[in-house]
Amino acid sequence: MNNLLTPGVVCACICDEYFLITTMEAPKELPMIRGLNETGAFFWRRMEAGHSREEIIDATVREHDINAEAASQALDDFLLLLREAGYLSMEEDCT
Amino acid sequence: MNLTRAQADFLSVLSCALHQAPAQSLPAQPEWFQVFSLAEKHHLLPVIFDYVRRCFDEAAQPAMFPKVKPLVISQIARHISSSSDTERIYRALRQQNLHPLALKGALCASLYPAPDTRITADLDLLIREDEFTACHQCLIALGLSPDCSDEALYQDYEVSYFSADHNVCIELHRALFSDAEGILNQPFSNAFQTSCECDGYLTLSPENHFLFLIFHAFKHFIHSGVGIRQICDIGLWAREYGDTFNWPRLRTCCANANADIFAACLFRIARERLAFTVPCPEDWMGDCEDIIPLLLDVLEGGVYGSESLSRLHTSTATLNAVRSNLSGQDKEGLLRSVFPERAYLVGHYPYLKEHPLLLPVAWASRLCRYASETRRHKDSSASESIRLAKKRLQLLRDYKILR
Repeated sequence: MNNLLTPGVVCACICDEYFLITTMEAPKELPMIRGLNETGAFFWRRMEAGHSREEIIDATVREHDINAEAASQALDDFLLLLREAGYLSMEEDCT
Repeated sequence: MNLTRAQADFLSVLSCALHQAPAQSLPAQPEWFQVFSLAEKHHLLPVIFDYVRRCFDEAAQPAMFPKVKPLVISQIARHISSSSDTERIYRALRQQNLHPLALKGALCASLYPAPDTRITADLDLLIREDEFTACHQCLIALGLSPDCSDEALYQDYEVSYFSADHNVCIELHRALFSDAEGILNQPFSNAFQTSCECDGYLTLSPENHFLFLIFHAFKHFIHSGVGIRQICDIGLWAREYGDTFNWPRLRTCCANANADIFAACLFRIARERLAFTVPCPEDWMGDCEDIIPLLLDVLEGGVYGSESLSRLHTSTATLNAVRSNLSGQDKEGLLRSVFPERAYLVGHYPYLKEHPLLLPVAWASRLCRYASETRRHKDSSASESIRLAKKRLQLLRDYKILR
């Protein structure tokens, strides 16, 4: 899912908090820094690493001790948040 | 003459941070505002804060910690942003089959306990002259612009390139030091032939990079002062690579530039105040009799010795003294800080190139500009600058830079 993410944005952990940080390549309308919760950072980093939707959901179920339906909903909620904030570069391929 | 308690606490906390010491090693009840203020002055606030915040449970944290945290987050975020870009730009230069040698912060950062806390303002690259044009064109294509005229582009020994928002800066260096500091360039004539890979960068050999760090600190010290962060870099580099160095060669190179006692003092500060193991021969380290005057100058000067305008203005006095000393002239040239030579002023008053007889006009303009600056900035005055220049010139004599 890494091709969904807007280029030029990095996810960083600073002082135990997570942030999305823009670089020169990012769209100018994005803020230089935006806070992210731990779950969001978990999803972002796996998307950035090229994991598929199924792989991300499986990892979420394993590491957060929730069921697949809840993990899928959490991922969809995160993608919606990213889309509305301008951090997705294309529509998600749902197949 | 001794350190204040705040200065001593700052160095103690910094040493703990650099070595990730247990929380019990922290000084008793430091005045955190003073420690953080000094850290900020030396661009080390993220290094120190990232360490000390983990020494306290959240409930036991000093009251000002939550107030400092947003500033630290902002500084680290900006650094992550700019360093991501400079790394990408460097890879692009390499993909063009170019061979820029990275210097200083980009390499030293990886030696810090938390590399992202070692803030770097720019990426310094040493470029072969025959690759300069290609590097220039590559940086332009990547969206950066040079901060100089077209004429200066092919004359200046270093050229800075900035992104549109000025958050990214790449400095291309044709030489490590300017012609005026030519003696400092001599040990690096084989820089490219002895280069090596380090953390994804081409760079000088570890020994040459160490010598460069010393000379770079020396250059700053002569100008207006060197910060404690450069001494941290030197200590970390010595700890990592020092066992492989040809220390007699390093000593000879430093002695040729009258920098041997200065270097010995840096090593002693790194060892005695920052707890670094510097495998320097003891007889060289022993050449430094007293580190306190230098250490006070370091702490008071800020990260680049640029803590105040008065301090910055002392640079012409100290530079003139060193150049006079190296060239055999006997004048210290304190008055030259007010009436510098034409070559020094040409950069600020370009009309001097075509009309050298207008030098007295440039002097008068400089005095007027200085007077208006002193009115705007409370920390600057001509008398303070001259007092500080005399003090710094004495340091140059004490450490045998002026002989």
